[in-house]
Amino acid sequence: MPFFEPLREEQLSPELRRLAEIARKRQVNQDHLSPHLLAMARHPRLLKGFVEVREELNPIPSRFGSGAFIAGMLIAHSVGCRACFALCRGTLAKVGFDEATLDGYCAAPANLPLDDRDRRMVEFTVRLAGERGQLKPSDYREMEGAGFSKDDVLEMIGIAAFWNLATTIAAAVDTGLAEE
Amino acid sequence: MAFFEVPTEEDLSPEGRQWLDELRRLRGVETSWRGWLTYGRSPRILKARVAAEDNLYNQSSGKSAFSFAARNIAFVLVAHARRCDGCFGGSRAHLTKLGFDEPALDGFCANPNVLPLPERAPLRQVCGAAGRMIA
Repeated sequence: MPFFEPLREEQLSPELRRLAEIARKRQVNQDHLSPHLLAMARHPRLLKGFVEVREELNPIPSRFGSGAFIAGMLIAHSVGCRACFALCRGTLAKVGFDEATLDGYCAAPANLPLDDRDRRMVEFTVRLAGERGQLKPSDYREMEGAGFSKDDVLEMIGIAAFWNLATTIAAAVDTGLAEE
Repeated sequence: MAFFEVPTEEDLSPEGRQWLDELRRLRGVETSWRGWLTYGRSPRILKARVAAEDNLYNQSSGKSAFSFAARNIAFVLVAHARRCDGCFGGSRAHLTKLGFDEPALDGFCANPNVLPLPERAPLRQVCGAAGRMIA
């Protein structure tokens, strides 16, 4: 039996239902709320914090298009978060990426076959998420030299921060939802 | 010259100022850390920060199951594991205000597996999660 027992949709309060409907729009399969969201709903602040942060830091549409989800997929892959990995893959598949292409991104994240701007955005966002202590001011200047504005860099920081938060929550909830 | 210029509050949009005010209110401080002002260029980041602080960490408008001290000790150890100077300094400052002295805080960081606290088991879980993330 899993450690966490997800709520049933009919058990959600009106406020939780409102948050769940916002969250449902981000799901690949929108027929049912994911068990992760329904498990999080047992602690309403967790669901509220997650949903509200996601809407602000990983907005749809994004100025970086699919880049935010390619970065999310690679961050989730690097930290072993199956739920975020599957969500990113599913979202990218919906907008036309095929499985072979996505497998290729995961297999060789240092050599992404994207156009230069997208590749730089994805690589920098992944570094922001995973190499926090190692980035230097010169890395920021290099991005500026490649045509990214300061606001672009701030948005990448937000996307990296969101996937760090999301993978922390989802991986932990996933463990609590696993059959023992 | 730094990559990000730190704007003055007057330079921020009304929305940026609104979330900056809210962040200060949540933290119970009157001055703004320069990072918050920098985020102010992108009010979405400030708004997300407020949502995260209010719902996931500070919970000022609700009751947490854990003491403020326990949450900040977890915070200091996660920041230490991830080498975030700003968060490390901020969480140490919170704990200092609560009465923890420097040797006690140094001891937490030096040996997070043997915390001299009644709530050490849940804290170990938090630190373990942080360790896995950076592994």
